[in-house]
Amino acid sequence: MHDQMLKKAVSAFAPTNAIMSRVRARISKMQKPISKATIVFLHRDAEKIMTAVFAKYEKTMQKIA
Amino acid sequence: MSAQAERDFDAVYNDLFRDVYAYFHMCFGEQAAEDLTQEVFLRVWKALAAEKTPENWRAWVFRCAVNLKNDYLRRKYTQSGVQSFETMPMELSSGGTPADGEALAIQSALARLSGADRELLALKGMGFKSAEIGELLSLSGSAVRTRLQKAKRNFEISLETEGVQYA
Repeated sequence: MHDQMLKKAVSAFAPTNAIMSRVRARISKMQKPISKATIVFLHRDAEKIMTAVFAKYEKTMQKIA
Repeated sequence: MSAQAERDFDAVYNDLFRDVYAYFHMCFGEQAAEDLTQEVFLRVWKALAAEKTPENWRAWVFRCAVNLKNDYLRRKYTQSGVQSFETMPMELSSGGTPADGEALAIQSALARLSGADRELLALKGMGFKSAEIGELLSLSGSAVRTRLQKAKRNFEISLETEGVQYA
């Protein structure tokens, strides 16, 4: 068998441009590094502080009302 | 990753994507081909990110492809009871890849062969020499030549059945 036939066989299984682009897009998605990070720092007195903040907020809202 | 590495990735991708995809497509079918090819190029990406640049990308990429093929086969053996690569069926295109009449006949002719025959014919059709195929598949050059001869004969018989002229 001539190798030309084997080349033909390989090209019968080649991807379309659409497949090539689709896989490239999927790889690009996976390549993207995480661009944002949220750092949450909890103060040991966070609960006390937040309770005070909300109490102040409540008071202010009552004054406005 | 540097801009140079990204350019290198695109060069390797554009140069080898078609052959790697065709290799997996001939071994297993369309769906597996897409997933496994993606995995090969993710490995290329990771290698470039780690500033690894093999001397011969083609050999490196196909070594990866053969390893992934072996992993895939191991999974198939346990998941779906496929006994060996010899009896591994190939899924024919489900319309994703447009093909003309002759291409479809060639696909059908190849689908009748064993997975091992399809793999050898794929690598030969991509221009690998017997010694290179042997290195990839851990076989001697003479074993590759013998198996290749048999695979070609099987392919010829299968092509005749499909009515494809191959001379």
